[in-house]
Amino acid sequence: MSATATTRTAAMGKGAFSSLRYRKHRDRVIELILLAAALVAVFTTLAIVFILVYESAAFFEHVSIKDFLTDKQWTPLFDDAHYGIMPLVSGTLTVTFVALLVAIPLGTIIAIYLSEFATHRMRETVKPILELLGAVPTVVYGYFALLMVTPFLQKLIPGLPGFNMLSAGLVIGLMIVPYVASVSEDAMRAVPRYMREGSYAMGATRLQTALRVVVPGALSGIAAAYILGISRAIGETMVVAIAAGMQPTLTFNPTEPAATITAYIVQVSLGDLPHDSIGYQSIFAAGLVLMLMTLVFNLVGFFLTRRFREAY
Amino acid sequence: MSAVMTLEELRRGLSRRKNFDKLFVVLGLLIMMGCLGVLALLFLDLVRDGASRFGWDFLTQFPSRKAERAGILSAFVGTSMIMLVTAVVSLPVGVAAGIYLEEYAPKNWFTGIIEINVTNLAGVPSIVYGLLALGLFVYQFGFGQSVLSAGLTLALLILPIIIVGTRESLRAVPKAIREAAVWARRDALGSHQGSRAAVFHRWHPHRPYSRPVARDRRDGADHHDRCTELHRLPAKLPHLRPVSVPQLGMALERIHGNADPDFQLGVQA
Repeated sequence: MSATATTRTAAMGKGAFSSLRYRKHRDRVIELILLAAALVAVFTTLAIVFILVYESAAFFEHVSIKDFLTDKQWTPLFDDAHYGIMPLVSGTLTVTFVALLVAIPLGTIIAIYLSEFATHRMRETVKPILELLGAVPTVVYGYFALLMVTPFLQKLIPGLPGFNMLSAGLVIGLMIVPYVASVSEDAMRAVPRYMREGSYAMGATRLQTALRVVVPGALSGIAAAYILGISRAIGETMVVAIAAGMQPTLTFNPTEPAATITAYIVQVSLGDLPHDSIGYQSIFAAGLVLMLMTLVFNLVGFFLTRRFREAY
Repeated sequence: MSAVMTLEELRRGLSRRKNFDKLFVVLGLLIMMGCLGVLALLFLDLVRDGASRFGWDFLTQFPSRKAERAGILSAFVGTSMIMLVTAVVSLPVGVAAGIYLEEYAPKNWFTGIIEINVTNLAGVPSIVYGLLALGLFVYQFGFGQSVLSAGLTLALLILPIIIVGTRESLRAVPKAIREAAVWARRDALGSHQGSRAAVFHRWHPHRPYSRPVARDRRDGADHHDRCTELHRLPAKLPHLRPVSVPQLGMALERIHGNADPDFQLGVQA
């Protein structure tokens, strides 16, 4: 404690509560409280990993990891039970792929348009509306897929079953367009103005500047936007549960019905399964696979962002 | 083409390249309008199908076997209570964590771990949170299938969003204001009181943003409630402790099958 502070405290007399030492002390206590709040995030991760691994461990006592990875059927609730995760993984990947085919081109073009071509007023009007599109509850999108998109697709593709991955994937793609667009647009706008000016000075048009200067400059942010989109598509539940059917099938054909990992988890947790049964444990094993899949994509994204990061 | 372009060639090239610009503008506008059109379609469809059913009775009636008398009161109250629990838990914790990471945290590996954790949690699918709720809150802690379990889980789900939003808002506060607070001897450390007095007064223009976003994710994320098995729709108001809890998203899902699309409007509202 410095001499000045002591003198001041003495001079303030009654105001000892606001003395520097008291306030430093209090600041320390508050810091610890805030730290505890921040640690909640760490504990959540630990809890998720613990629960998934703990319940999956019980599952893998009954089912060998080899069967889990190589069996071509997933029928844990039947008498003739098979526990091959591949049909669920193929469903998840197919739906995600269809969704990305929609979301990445549309989202990127919208982002380039909004960031490089649209007037300020237009951008300020359109962006909030687009974000609204991302805020519609996913259940509503599920019924949109089932009741509007599927009948429409059935006119284009005769013989398309009522439940199919194509319509679910398209709708999920539409759903994540705003995320991709919004995050990529932020990244593009962070590219400094003088880089655009330099490009214009060289005689480039707006589109050339956008594609050859702004997009490469913002690549790390755009990659992050894509990864965000992929994570959302993999983890999307309601749309696939409602529109893609619930039948696990090992297929990569989007016009067929199939179940995804998320849809399976929903299906089982809807029923009245006793909580020590193998069916109950199987949703945790499925959840673990889902978690690992998103983790892989997040890690890839993390390294991509690092690799392409441009510092201005 | 010769090494040096004539003015004529240059102009022709330029106008050709500018045509691509126009083409792109048209493409961009079309795609954007397409997306907005889908949104409009979605709302129109909901309103058209649901308008006839929407009214005071719809909000105040319990679910009924007879579709024409069914209401969403229990689901509405259930959603409201879950939102209340979620807000009460997640707002203080999220804001506190955001303040810690932005204003206090030293730059070391420990802080790094917390930050990576927050980023990763934001990418975890909500159904995995549902599994966490099922395994931890419902069975291990014995909260059962209740508003408490659901609210706590949703609180964890939106926590990363609140933390990130808080941090972005705090970061937008100019350094000068912090320094002024320290200089004015409001706090010699320039942290806590500096934060509270100076930073808080400046950040709120941005802060509301993090909350609506978080709320959107929460209201949409009904799959996790499914995991806490809140799918029955009893004709009574929910309690905080174990009873099965009706919730709007669930109401919609239960109706699926014996088809009453009118429910969609209520859920939208």
